[in-house]
Amino acid sequence: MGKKLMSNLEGYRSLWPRRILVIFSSLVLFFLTAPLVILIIQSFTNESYLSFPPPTYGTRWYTEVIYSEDWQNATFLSLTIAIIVTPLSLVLGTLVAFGLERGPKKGKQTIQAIMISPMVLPHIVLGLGLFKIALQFNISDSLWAFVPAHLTITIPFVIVTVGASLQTFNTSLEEAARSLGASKFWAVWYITLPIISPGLIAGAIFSFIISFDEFIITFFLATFQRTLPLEMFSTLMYQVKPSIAAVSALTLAITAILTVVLMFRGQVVGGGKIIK
Amino acid sequence: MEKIDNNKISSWWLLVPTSFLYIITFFIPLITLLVMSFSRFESSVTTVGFYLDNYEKILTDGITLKIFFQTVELSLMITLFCLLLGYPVAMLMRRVGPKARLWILLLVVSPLLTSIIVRNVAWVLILGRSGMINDLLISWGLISKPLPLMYNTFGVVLAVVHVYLSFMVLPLFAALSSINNSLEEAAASLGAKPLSIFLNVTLPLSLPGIMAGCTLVFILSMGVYLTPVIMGGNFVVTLPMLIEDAVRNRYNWPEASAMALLLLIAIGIMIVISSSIQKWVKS
Amino acid sequence: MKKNKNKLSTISRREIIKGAGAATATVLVTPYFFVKAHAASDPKHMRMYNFDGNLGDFYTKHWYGPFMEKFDVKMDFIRLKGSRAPLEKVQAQINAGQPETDVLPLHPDQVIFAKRNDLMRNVTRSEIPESKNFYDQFFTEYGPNLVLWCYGLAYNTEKVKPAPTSWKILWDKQYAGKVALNEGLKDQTLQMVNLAFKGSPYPVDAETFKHLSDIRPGLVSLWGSGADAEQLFRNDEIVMTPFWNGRVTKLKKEGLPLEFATPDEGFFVRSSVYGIPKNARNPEMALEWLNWVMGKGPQKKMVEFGYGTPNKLVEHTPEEAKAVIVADPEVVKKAVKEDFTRILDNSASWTDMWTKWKST
Repeated sequence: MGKKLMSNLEGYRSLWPRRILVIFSSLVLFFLTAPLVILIIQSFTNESYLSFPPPTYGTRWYTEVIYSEDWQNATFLSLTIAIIVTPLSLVLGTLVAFGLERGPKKGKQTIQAIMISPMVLPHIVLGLGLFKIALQFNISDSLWAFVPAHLTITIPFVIVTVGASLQTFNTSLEEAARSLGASKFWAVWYITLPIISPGLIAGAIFSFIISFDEFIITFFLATFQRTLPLEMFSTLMYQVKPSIAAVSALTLAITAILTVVLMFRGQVVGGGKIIK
Repeated sequence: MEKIDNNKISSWWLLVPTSFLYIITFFIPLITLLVMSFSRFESSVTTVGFYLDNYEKILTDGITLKIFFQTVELSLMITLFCLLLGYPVAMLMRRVGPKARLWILLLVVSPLLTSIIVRNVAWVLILGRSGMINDLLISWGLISKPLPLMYNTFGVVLAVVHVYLSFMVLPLFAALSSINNSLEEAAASLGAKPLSIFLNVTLPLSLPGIMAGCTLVFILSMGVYLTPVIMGGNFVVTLPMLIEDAVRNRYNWPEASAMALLLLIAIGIMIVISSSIQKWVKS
Repeated sequence: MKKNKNKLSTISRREIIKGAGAATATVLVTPYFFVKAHAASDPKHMRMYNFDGNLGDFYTKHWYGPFMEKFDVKMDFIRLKGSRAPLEKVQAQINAGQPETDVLPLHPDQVIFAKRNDLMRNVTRSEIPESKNFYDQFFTEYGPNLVLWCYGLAYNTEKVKPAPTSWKILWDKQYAGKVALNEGLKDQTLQMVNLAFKGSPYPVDAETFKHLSDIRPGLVSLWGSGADAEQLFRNDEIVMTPFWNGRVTKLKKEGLPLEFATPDEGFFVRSSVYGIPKNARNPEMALEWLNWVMGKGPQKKMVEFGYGTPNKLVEHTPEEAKAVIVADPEVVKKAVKEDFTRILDNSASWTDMWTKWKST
C-alpha cells in the first residue's frame, strides 16, 4: 500500500516537501492501526480470555458471535437504527448548515451554538430527559424512541462538518449558475453540494458511527432491546471476553470490504474526482 | 449596522425541521434538567423547588470546579495533539489519488469502529508495565524499570487522541479540499517558498476546517469518561466522571443536572468565543 | 460540470432507494417492538433481570429455568450491566407506574435509598412461607437477602508469600507498583483503610486519606469493575487487590494462581435484597418465585456456584464452605458490620474527599 501511495503521490504536482508529509502521516496511521492489529490477532484466540499473543489460535469466538442470536439481533438493531438515522441526520443537518450560512450574520453564532449544543450535554443527563419523555409517550424500548434520540446527537456533527465546508465554498460559482438561469435549488444541487461533498461525507460517516456507537442514551431508552454497544457492555462489565474482539474485527472487516467495493465501483468517497 | 433583508431571514426556514425535533428531544429534556438543577436532594429524596444548593455546592466544594478546569486542560491538550497529528494526514489525503485517500480515510476512521473497552485492553498490552514498549526498552537496556505509560494523563491523552483523530481529520480534509489549488500554484509561480505558501495561503484558507475539527474534538473530549477510567486507572478525573458518579452511585439527579448545565454553559461560551476569534481572524 | 451532474444524480437515486428502504424497514419492524413491549400483562408472564457471564448462566440454569418449567411461567430477561440494578432508571419507571422488572435485586445502600423514596412493595413472612428457614437478619421488609458475597483480599499465590493475613500488606514496599484498589466500591475501600489502621471502619477522615496517600505511589490502578480487575491479574499488572470471593473462585477454576484471604482486621459480607418494586406487573408470580428460590434446592445450587446462602437447611461440603467463606462460624466472626445508612448519607462527602485525594 505504501508503494501505491508513493506512486500516487509521484503523479501529483506538489508544493510541499512531500516525503516528510508521507513519513509523518505514515507514523500517525501506524499509531492508529497498531492497537487494532493487536485486537485482531487477539480475536483469533481459543482461550476464554484475552491475552497476547494468544496461547492457541482458532476461530472459536467468530463462530460464537456469528451463530449467537443475541449478537445477531444486536447487530441488526444497531444497523437498522444507524441506517435510518444517517440519511435523516444528513438532510436535517445540512439544511441547518445552509440556513445558518446563508441567513443573516446577526445572531448566527448564538443560533449555531444552540443548534450544536445537544452534542455538548453529557449523554447521561440527556438520556434521563429523553427517557422521561419516552415514558410519557410509552414509546421507550422502540425505534420511535431510539431514532429521534440518536438524531438529536448526530445532527450537530453534520452541522459542524457541512458548515465548515460551506464556509470555504466560494459562492461565486453558485451565483454564476444562477445567472445562467438555474433556479436556486438546482444551483445548490448541481454546484454547491458536489463541491462540499467531503463535508457531507464526513457528516454522514460521523452520524453513522455516533449512532452505531451510542451507548448511554440507548441504555436509558432500552429494556429488552439491545444494540451492539449495549450487548458489548453487558458482556464487558462481567468479563473482557474475546467475543468482543471478534465483533470489533468483524465490524472492521465489513467496513474494509465495503470500502473495496466502493473503490471498484468507482464511487470514490471523498469526492476525489469532483475536486480535481 | 447590517441591514437584515428578507431573503436572508427566509434562510432560517431551513432550521425549522430540526428545531421541531429539538423541541421534543432536547429543549424539553433541557427544561427538566433546569428544574432538576434547582431541586433539593436531601437524605436521598429529591424535592422540586427553587433551591440553589447544587450550584452552591459546585462552586464552593473546592473540587468540582477544579475538576472542571482539569477537564478543560485535558481537552485542550487532546485537541492540540489531534490538530498536530491530524493536519498532515488531512494534507496528505488532499494530495493523494482517490483510492489512496479512501484507504487513509478507512484507517483514520477504523478506531471508531471498535469497542472502546477492547481498544483499551489492546493499549494495556502495548503500554502496560509488562507491555510491548516497556519489554522492548528493557531488553534493549535503555531503561531498567518499566516506564509509567498508562494509568496516568499520558495514557488517557494517547487513547483519546487515537480515537478522536478522525473528528479532526475529516473536517480538515473537507475544508482543505474545497480550497482551489490554483491559489497555491499561483503563489508558487510567483516564487513563494512552500512554507510561506502554507502559512499564508493554505493555513488561513483551511481555518474553518481547523475550527470545526477543534470544536468537535474539544467538545467530545469534554465528555470522555470511560477512557480515563481504564487508561487513567481512575486517577485522571473528568467532570463527566463526577456526573456519572452522582447519577450511578448516588442517584443524585439534582447535582448531576447542575454539573451538566455548568458544562453546557461553559462550552457554549467557548463556542461563541471561538467563532468570534474565527470571524476576527477572517476579517 | 456535466460529469458532476451525472455523478450526483446517481448518488441521489441511491439515497432515495436507501431512504425508502429505511422507511419500509421502520414500518415493518415497529409492530414487532410494540408487540414485545405489551406481551407482559399476562399472569403467566414475568420480566426479570439477569446477569451476564457465568452468574447469568447460573441464574438461567438453576434459578429461572426450573421455575419456569415447574410453574409453567414464561420469563423475559433484561440483562443487567454489571451487578447493580440501574436504580437511576428504575426509580423513574416506578414513579411512572411501569417498572421494567417484577423482581428488583438491591444492594444494601440501594435498599435504604428505595425505602426513603418508597419504591418497594412490602413483603411479609406469611406471604413467603420459605422465610422460616432463613436466618432472621436475612429477611427484610422488602424480601430476602440472597447471594452472600465476601469482600476480602485476592492475591497471586506465586508472587505473594506467605499468605497475607492483614490488609496492611497492600502498603508493603515489596509489592509497591503491583497492587490496585477498588474505585467501583470506594466505600469499601475507605472502610478497609480504616480497618487496617484504625481498627474500626469509621469515621472516614483526613487520617484515612493520609494512609491512602502513603499507598498512592505503589498503586497501579483504581479499577472500576470486576472485569477490569480480572484483566489486571491476567496481564500481570498486579499481584494483589481487595476483591470479592466469587470472582476469585471462578478465576481459580480457570487456572489462575489466585487465592482469597479474609484479613484479621476484618472483612465484609454483603448481599442483595430481592424485592418487588411498586407497580410491578406481576407481583403474585414474583412472590411465588421468591418463595421458591429461597428453598433448599435453589440455595444449595448457589452454594455450589460459590456464593453463600442464609438458608439454615443448606449443607456445605468442605470445599464449598471454604469458597463461600460465610459457612465457617469462626471466619464469620471476623466480618465487619457495615452501617449502610452512614455509607449512603456520606457518599457525597466521601466522594468529594476521594476525588480531592486523587487529583492531588
